[in-house]
Amino acid sequence: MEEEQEGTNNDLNNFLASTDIPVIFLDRLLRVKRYTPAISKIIKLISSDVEHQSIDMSQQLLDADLVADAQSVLENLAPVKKEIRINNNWYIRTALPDRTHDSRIKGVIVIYNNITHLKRAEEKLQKSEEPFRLLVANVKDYAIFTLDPEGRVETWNAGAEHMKGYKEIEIIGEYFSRFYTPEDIAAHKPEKELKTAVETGRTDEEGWRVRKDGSSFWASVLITALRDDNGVLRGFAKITRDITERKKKEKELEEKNAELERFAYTVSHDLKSPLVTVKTFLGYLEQDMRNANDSRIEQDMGYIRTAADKMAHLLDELLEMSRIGRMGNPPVNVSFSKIVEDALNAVAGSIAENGVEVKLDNAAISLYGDSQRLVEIWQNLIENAVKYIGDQKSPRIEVGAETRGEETVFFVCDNGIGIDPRYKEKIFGLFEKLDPKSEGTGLGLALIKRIIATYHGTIWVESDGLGKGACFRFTLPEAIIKLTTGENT
Amino acid sequence: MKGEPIVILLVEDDPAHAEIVRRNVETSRIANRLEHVADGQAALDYLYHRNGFSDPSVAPRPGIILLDLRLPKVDGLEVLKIVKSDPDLARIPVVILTTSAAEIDVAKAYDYHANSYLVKPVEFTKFVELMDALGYYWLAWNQKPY
Repeated sequence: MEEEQEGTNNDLNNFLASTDIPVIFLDRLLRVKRYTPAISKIIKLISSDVEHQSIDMSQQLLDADLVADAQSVLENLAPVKKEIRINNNWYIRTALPDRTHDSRIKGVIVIYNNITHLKRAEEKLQKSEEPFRLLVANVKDYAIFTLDPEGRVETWNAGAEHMKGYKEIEIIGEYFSRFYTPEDIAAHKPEKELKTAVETGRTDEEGWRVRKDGSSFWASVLITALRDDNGVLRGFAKITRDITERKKKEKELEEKNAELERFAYTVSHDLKSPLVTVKTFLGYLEQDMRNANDSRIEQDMGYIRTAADKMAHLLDELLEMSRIGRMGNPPVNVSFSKIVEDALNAVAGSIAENGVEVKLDNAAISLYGDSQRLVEIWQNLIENAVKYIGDQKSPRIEVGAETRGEETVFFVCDNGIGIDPRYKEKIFGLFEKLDPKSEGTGLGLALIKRIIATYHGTIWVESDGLGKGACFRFTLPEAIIKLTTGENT
Repeated sequence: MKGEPIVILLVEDDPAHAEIVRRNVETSRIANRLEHVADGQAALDYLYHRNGFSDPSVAPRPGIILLDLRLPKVDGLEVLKIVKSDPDLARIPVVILTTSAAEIDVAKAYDYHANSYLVKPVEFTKFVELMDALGYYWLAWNQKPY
């Protein structure tokens, strides 16, 4: 029995001497009983004859809390485990009661477990991940979030909250299909997208997405399947960007392009037409001069002259057309009555010639815009009205404005020949004319429509049919709204 | 060539171009009668004997229609569509005579069963040649549908 005990003691001694784990045995008075050589990292035990020294007497104790913790172990008979830092090393220090066979407490065993390398690795990991974590958390322009393999939201960043309107607390754990439109949900689009991501690694697409408040936005979405090192699906990363603005711009550009194409088409047609006339009648002219056919010569030159005039007129109007929206005068406050006055002055000749009576209503309105362009609207409409006044015995044009709902609607009405209801849309097209014999190029109303569009307004015509006169009505919201804001500032 | 003159219905809004066609048709050796209307609505009124065209002697059935595309009131393609979808009119050869060489116009015209598509040449001699060839082909060589 004693031999056995001695053997155990020897084993323990050998172990204590050889281990590089700092361990110290203290008695109930916290005096040093035994220790491992490695304890020197914690306590500088100077001489070899240190046994029975009280630990709190040591000036070289680097573990400041040790005395208090050891005492607490003795008092509470419970181990105390603590993470402590000594110099540049981290330890888990465990202090536990040292019990005899018969469960008496003979002291405290203190073991220092060096975890420095673990701590370093952890710190390093944290440091390397931090920029990414902060990046994801702080990015506002992209919704960056993750889904679990079943498609439930797992993480949520500020951008996602900003874009979709859900707070982190209310969205975590929710199935991600709620970001889709009802039509997409019905078509199982969310599931299909995850499926593609699982199969090919990623899905990207553009489409409508729905915010918490029900409003929608055009999104560019990228879903990436997240797999661990063993290839097991851990979930999905979803990056969403709101590109509604870009989409809008693209659409505007497409419309502009289409308009330009139509424009080029009509221009080439309408310029080619008089060119055919000029060239052909030059041919006839040569023939007729050879034959001295005087009446035909006269006729040929007439056609050539008309065609050339038409081209000149067309080019002038095209130039004018291209200036709208591109070149303008700075916006000013100008009264409606002043605009109409200027417009009437510009067409005074034909008004007098046709004996047209002009009546002006409700002229107290003020407008804000490019006054020259605004004048052109009324000038063209009044010119038009005079041109199509017909054989009316008492020709009359009425110019004014009225309120319809919240809108101010301007009008130029006449009691002239009127318009066949079938052509109410067509007349606003480029180069469209109803009367082939009329002198215009068919650009006048298209021009007006364009000016009105720059003020976000619309124009339409009302007529009870041929012989019943016509009323051109239009709105100029921008020219009116800007006035009120202009007054406030 | 003898017998009844062939009636040509010319649908052309440009008076100068109508005059060119008229001069060419006049010098043609094929007996014909040119009827000119200046817009798409008038063309339909002529063909359906409406609004001033009710008298068959004023608006005889044409043996051929020369149709411009960009027309006031009713567009040339619309006139073509109506003519070709009406069993009573569909057999009348319709020759498109226009300044437009735009692919879309050509394609649409054939889609609506135009019998021929001719682009007005800018050169005088070519225009005259074209009108000559058109007269021979459609009025002399071509087998009439009835």
